[in-house]
Amino acid sequence: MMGINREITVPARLGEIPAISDFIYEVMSACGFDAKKIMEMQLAAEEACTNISNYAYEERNGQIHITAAAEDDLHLTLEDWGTPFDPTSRIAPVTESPAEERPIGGLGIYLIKNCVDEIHYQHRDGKNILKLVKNKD
Amino acid sequence: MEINHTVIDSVPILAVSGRIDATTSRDLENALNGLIEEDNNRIIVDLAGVEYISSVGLRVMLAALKKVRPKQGDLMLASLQPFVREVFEITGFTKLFLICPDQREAISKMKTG
Repeated sequence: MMGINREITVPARLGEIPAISDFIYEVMSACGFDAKKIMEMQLAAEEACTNISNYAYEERNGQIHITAAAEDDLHLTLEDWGTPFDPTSRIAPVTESPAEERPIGGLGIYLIKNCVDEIHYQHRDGKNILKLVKNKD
Repeated sequence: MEINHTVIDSVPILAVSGRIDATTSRDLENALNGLIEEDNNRIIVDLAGVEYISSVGLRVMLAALKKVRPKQGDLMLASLQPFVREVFEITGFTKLFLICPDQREAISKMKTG
């Protein structure tokens, strides 16, 4: 099948979450992902964008550039120009400790880790680049 | 997102439908805080109509739970749909809340518990 490549740029504000969720739905449903996998990716993207807004931009104005490349797998790349923030370094281990005591942004990152198949982070050219991969099968 | 407030056998029930995300969770927070401020400390949240929840929604419910528990109250959850249940399980939140299969059982547990 033909691959799909799409991109959007949105302000790093929580009010943009529905637009990001709609963007993911359109790409993933066009590629035949099931509803559960679409919601898992929407959740991972919401948590990643919330962390960008809260910690990379520390609630300052900023932009998030999102690209989706889908064929058999979906590769969602989120770029921002905020303070370097590596979510993969903050993944809390599975413990019995109460969820609310997990480190800053930890609950969201924990959800991201459990909702996607791969997470890659790099800081390059002044950008945080977070790539999330979801396998179709 | 839509929130319907009903009272059955003196137990306040918030029936939520739609998506609980970063943009809608404030409405749920306000509804819960409104009940707690009126000294309703035993609350049921029916999630039958909720297909999606993110960590912001989890935090809102946890914050409400922490307000009512010290007052011998409780916040019970009913009718979790598959994805919402998955999110609760992944985060360990199933251990923090009493979760009932449906509203009727939650009411019965709330009255006896």
